[in-house]
Amino acid sequence: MAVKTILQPISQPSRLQKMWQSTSIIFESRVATVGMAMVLFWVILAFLSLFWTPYDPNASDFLQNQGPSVQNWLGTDHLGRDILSRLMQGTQVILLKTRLPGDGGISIPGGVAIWGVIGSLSLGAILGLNAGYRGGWWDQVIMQVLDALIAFPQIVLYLVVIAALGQGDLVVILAITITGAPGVARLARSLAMDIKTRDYIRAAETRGESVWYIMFWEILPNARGPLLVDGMLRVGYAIFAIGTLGFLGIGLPPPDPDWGNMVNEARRNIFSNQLAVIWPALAISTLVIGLNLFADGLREEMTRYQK
Amino acid sequence: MARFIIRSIISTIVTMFLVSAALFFLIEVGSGDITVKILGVFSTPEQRASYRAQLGLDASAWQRYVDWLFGNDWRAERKVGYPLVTAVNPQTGEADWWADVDGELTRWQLDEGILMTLIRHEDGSATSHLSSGAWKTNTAGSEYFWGVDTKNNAVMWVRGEGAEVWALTKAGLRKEGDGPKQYIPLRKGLLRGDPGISLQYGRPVAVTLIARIRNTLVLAGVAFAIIMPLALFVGILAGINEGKPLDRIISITSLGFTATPEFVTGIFLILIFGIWLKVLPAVAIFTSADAIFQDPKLLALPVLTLTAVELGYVARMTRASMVEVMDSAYIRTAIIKGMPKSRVVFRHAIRNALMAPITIIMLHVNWLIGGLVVVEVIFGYPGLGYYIYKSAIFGDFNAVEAAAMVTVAIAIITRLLGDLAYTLLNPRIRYS
Repeated sequence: MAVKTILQPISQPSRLQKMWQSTSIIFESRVATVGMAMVLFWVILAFLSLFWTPYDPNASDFLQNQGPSVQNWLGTDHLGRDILSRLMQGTQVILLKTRLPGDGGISIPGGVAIWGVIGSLSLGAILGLNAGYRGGWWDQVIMQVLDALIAFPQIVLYLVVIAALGQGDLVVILAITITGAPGVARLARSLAMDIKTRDYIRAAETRGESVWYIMFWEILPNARGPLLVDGMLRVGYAIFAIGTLGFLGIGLPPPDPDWGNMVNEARRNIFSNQLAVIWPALAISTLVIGLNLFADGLREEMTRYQK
Repeated sequence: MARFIIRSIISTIVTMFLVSAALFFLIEVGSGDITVKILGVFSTPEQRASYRAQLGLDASAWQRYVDWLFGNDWRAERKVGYPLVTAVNPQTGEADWWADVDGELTRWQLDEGILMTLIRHEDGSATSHLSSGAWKTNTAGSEYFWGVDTKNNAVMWVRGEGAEVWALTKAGLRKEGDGPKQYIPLRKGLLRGDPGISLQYGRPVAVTLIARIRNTLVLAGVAFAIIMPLALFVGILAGINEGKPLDRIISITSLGFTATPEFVTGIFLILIFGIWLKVLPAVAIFTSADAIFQDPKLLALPVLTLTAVELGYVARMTRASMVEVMDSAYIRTAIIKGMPKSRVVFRHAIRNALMAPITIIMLHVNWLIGGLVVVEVIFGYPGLGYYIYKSAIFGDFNAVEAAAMVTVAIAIITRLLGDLAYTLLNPRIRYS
């Protein structure tokens, strides 16, 4: 590390300026800005729901299947629960907290979608860097295993994993990790194969650095841009997947409301109360579309000058 | 080229093998006691243990993996001492196992401690005789006999020690004396086209699966036939108008469609066409096996849902590829030398621009399968996806494994074809 700091120019911008520089790229793309606004809306709602929701999201306090009113802004569901409160509370499991198994009701910060993506990024990066940097047999074996994983249609893998291990936040995280890792690994591998030809890697090798040091301290930081954008897209996929699993009735377990499951339950009353289906459906698609727009705009902006 | 093809095929086989092992052992590790699901929570431990033995679940996992893949009739043959063959039962239309004793198809039955031989006739019926001298003596001195019973198992009876077993009948569990000590449920194995018996329905998985695959192929085929031309057209249209309002509209719309989960799209379509306009059926209820051919309207909403989701993806790919081609030097040259733009696009650009999306679509097939599961569940469409879903929920491992292997095979084979198509279409690519 010491070598690096010396080599950097003396008049470098402050940390804050650097952060602003790397984030201001978002605002250069209109697509990314719109996407970020959509995502921020839900993030703010999620944080708000930690402290306040209009009503208790799980209490059946009202008449069933009511339309929007002054009392319940978005109406009530088939058990007479306030939909707005449930929608707000539903953001938490996706974005803010992961419930650990056990009776304690303990949860750790970081939603299921976030941890799933962190999981697939880490697993994928480890596999991809090893395959790309070491090459040879490592590459052959790792890619063969990943090919096998990719061959699995994702939804089938989800179904099998959840049928095998049961429902739960951690199981969903595991499922997202397994399904996401091959894609990340492929990306990381191609980046590593590109970066390993650079001079600074040769320099590190000459210095006698260990393989793991080169992979994680030399290659990974230089590959982080594309990996992070990919991760952003993957958060979208993960929410998509969580919604789908919830819809299939095998997603995140109660008591916390789950958007996909809300759609699934409300679907049974679709003839009498259409709005109860529409709200959670809209919530999922706006959040996923927002993340997609954000990642897409970002990628477009980042690759603009690389051609 | 030949080397590349051989390498791909070998890699495909290895992949399939890995997948089958991963699938089998994942389910093996995870699934709980399936007999609780079948017999109900009020069954006693003895009943469950007896039923587990009848399902062959008391064998080791490795043994069962080999059985599942390659069958176990060859293993049972050595015990029984006669070749084991299948014959179609005219009543059910399903295959039954028989031992081929000197040209006569034979089964055995232990009745009140007396071993009976059942001989099959041409019409499928069987007559029973007293069988004599069949018992063999083992080292411990007790008499035993290996034979094929009437429930397609190779079983071992021990004389005078008829075990008490619990048989599952339509009316529930029945206690039977004279039961076998050991069971080998006969199966030909996945590689020979027999994925076993569905634990949920008690019928051979293969029989159900074939009908389901047909339904799914019809659904996916129709959707594919609509998606492809439309998506390619829209993508090319956006690609040649890069940056113009038309491109923006197409790009944003297709992004919106891709990013919306299938079930959301499906629900909205049900709302619009099934509930508000009341023009299309909101669920696909099959009144007969061939309902889709008699009433194609059933297909409308499932196909529309799949189209909405997949269209955007393919269109975006086509657009990206088209933009790249339109940026290339040879297109610029063609425009600069004064060629009319339509001619440039149709003669020069499209052929190159379509290559990438076509291969990507091949890779995309397992996404399509994912979409199929959800779409089939939304509309209750009796296809492969719905079958996997139902079986996975029940824990019917024979069915899940078989159906999942079918989807994996489809995904891998299309990918192989995509790779091959790519090398054929693009002579510049040389695989080592």
